[in-house]
Amino acid sequence: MGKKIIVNIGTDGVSTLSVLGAKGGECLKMTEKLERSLGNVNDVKLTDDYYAALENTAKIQEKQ
Amino acid sequence: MSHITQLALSLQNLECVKSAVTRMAGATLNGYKTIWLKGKSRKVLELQLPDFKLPLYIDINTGDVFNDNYNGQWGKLGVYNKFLQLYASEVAKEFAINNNYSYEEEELAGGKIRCTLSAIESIKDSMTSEGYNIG
Repeated sequence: MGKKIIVNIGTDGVSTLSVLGAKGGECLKMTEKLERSLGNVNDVKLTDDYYAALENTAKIQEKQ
Repeated sequence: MSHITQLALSLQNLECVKSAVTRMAGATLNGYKTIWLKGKSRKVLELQLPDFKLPLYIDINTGDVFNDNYNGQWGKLGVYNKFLQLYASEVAKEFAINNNYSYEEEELAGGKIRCTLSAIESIKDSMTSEGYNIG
C-alpha cells in the first residue's frame, strides 16, 4: 500500500492526523512538518503498529 | 497506522487564510489594522465572516484570533468553525503541493472534512508494479 497521510478536520476545527503505509519512526516523521504547519499538538497516540515496527527493528539489530 | 495526532489550529499562514476566505461565500478580508488588545498594540488582519456583527482579528504572527460574538448572538460559532475547517484543508493542500503528495478532499456525513495526501512516489511504484509505464 502507498504511503498516505489522512487529515480529518472536525466541525469544531480540531484536526487529527494519521498515516497509512508507514510504520514506526517514519510514520512520525511524515506528519511532523504538517503538524507544525497546522498548529499546536494536543495529543499523540502511538498504536500497536508503532510498537510492532520498533520490535522488528530491535530483532534485526540483534541478528546483526 | 502507527500513530494518531490531535491538534488545535493556529492561523499563521496568510495564503491559506486568503484561500479559505475565497472558499467561504460572504467572507471578506479587510487588510491589516493596528488595534489595542489585552493591554498591547497588535497588528492584525481583519476578517469579516458572514452574519457576524463584528469583524474577527487574526494575529498572523501568533495565530491568535480575537472576536466577540456575544455568546452567538452577534455571529454563530458554526460559521467560524467552518472557516477553521476550510483553513485547515488549505494548509493540508499547500503541504501536499510542496511535499510531493497528491491531494483529495471530501466532506463526510456530519460535516467533517477528510483530506487524503498520497505520496507521489508510492503511486508511481504501485502503477509500475501493475505494468503501467511511468515517464
